[in-house]
Amino acid sequence: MNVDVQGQTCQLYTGGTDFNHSQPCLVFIHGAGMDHTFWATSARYFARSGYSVLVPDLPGHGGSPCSALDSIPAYADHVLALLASLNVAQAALVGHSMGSLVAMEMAARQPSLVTRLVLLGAAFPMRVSDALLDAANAEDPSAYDMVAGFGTAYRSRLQGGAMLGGNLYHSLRVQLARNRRGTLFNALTACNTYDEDALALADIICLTTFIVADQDMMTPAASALALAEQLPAGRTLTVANCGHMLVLEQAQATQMALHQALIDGD
Amino acid sequence: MAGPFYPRFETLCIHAGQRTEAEAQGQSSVVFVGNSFRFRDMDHAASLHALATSGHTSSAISNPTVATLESRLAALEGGVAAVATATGMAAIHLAMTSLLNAGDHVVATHVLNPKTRQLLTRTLARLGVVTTFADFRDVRAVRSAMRTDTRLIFAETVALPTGEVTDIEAVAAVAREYTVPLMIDATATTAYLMRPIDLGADIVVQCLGGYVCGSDTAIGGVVIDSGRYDWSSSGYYPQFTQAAADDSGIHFVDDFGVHAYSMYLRYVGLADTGAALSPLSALQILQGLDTLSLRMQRQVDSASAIATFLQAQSSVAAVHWPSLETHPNYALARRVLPRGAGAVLGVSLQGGREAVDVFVRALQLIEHQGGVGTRCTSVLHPATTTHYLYNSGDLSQCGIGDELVQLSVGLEDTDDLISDLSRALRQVAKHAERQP
Repeated sequence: MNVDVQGQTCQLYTGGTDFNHSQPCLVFIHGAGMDHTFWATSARYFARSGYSVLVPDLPGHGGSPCSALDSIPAYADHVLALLASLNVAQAALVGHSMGSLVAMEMAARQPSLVTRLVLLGAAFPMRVSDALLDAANAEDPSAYDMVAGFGTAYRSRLQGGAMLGGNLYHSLRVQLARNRRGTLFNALTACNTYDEDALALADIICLTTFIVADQDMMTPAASALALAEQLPAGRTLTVANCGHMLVLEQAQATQMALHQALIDGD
Repeated sequence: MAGPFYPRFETLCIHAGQRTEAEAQGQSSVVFVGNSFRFRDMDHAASLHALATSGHTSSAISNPTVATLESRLAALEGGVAAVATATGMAAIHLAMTSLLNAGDHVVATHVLNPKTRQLLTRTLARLGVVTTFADFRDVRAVRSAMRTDTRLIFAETVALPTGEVTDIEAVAAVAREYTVPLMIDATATTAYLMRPIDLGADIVVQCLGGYVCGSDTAIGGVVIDSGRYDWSSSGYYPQFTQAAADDSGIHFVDDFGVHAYSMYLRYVGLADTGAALSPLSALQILQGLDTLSLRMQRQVDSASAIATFLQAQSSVAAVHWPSLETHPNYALARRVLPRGAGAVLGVSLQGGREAVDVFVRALQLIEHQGGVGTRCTSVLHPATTTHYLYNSGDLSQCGIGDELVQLSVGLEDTDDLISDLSRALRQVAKHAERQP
């Protein structure tokens, strides 16, 4: 469905069920160049497991037609405004890659809103290589190759990923090529420029689970493990034989980790 | 192109789609023959049926062995996903009926495979889908055939046995102009010779029983989706862009994005038709894929030698193979089929149908049977077999005459094949000499 957020249209996916205020709210935030379909299977699962699920297409991504933003605080402003417009008082946030930075920013800024963080493919700071930034800025398809290549484990590229009969590598390239001009570059820039000056980790007080992929080349596991130690309530779960695109590579293992992080830990 | 991070063709032929050790134990393909799959618990069962967890419920929808084949073919063709079917025609039927609605219009090449033509003119016509057959050699004819209600353009990489090559890039430009998908039947070439998605096709269909399986021991088909067609923006296909009229809550574009079409194929089309590929057939096709590049190159090389030989024979009026300089599509074939235009030749004999009869009876090694691309070389008389329902006008339009023989070149020794052909052609010549 489409919702109006600060005067801009935002596409919002609810996992195939109606949003229900009486259930705990779970917000999934995708990464740079992705959209809500990154989370579709997980969203459908938790929407049938007692949660009201919200999966926005971030500005410029997927079905949200406005321009992509170029800073993490701006994306956090957007998602916070979205939750306010839906009268969501509390929510657990699940973020992937750039979405994990957005979730951390939201948690630091509004600790009373965020009940729990689950962060996949997370690192802070999240530096992006000049080669990828340059290719994205030039709208060169080599940027898609780099994301699809460095973003997945070799075996995942060979096996085809989690989609039955699918091919993850080609799927990522097609997904990235669908973005409006400037979306990938702006989103990667947002990741690259978000650093210690912008975020105080000590402000994140909720239980935070890092779901770490052992073969993540974009945000190496060591980054998340170090980050978890810096948070007042950080912990880690590891998904084996997996790269940066966890839910698209090892869907079942990642879903079990999400379940553990969101439900079993209560 | 796949880019620097992606394994190359021969590696993909052997490894792509192979699941983890827990599922497939090592490198060899494993066959899962069960009809249904055990659930961990109630939650797992419900999640699988609600498409809220990835996995298999029934082999009528998906199966680990079949999924390996599907992923491998998607990898080879450059698609986002593939759905395998029991036969090649099941794939074309599934691909078309999942797209088209009553009142829709299709533009198809005039030299279509007769079975596909029959699907369009008989079954789909009865269901309210109208088809215009156009001469795809002239892209202006394709554009002229387009209507406001056109919802699909369909062509083949290479039409058999006349060897007409589709200029996919040019036809894809028309498809984009009219915001409709371009579906290409790549049976005659396979991904080894050409990847239609790289040239602009949106959907690829293929019969797997020929070149891909190679051993003539299994039949099957596949639909491969490029994932590039934007179903939402055209608004022509409500089955993908509107919520299902049931309690599933499934909205294919919203839920599955670039996989909307392939998911619809599997969970609606395949479920409705029951045309799933047998896992045992999938295993045989997977084993064939291991050697696809070796076999195809060998067959193409052999076809080239045989085409050259046949051209020099007095009993042969013409050889139709796009990799020959004499073929009208030679320049196009050189551009889009640099490894060769497949291993099926059209051979026009001097002396018409009577000469064909003598020729076929005189062959000792080469089989008289249908099918193309398998290990055995075979001949067929299209006018009285595959095209027997065509009237003289349709036959003429397709370039199918009484004198035309289809020769599918297999893996036997090239010199042995030429000897057999030479012997049969001598019989044709002797027969001609005896005529008054």
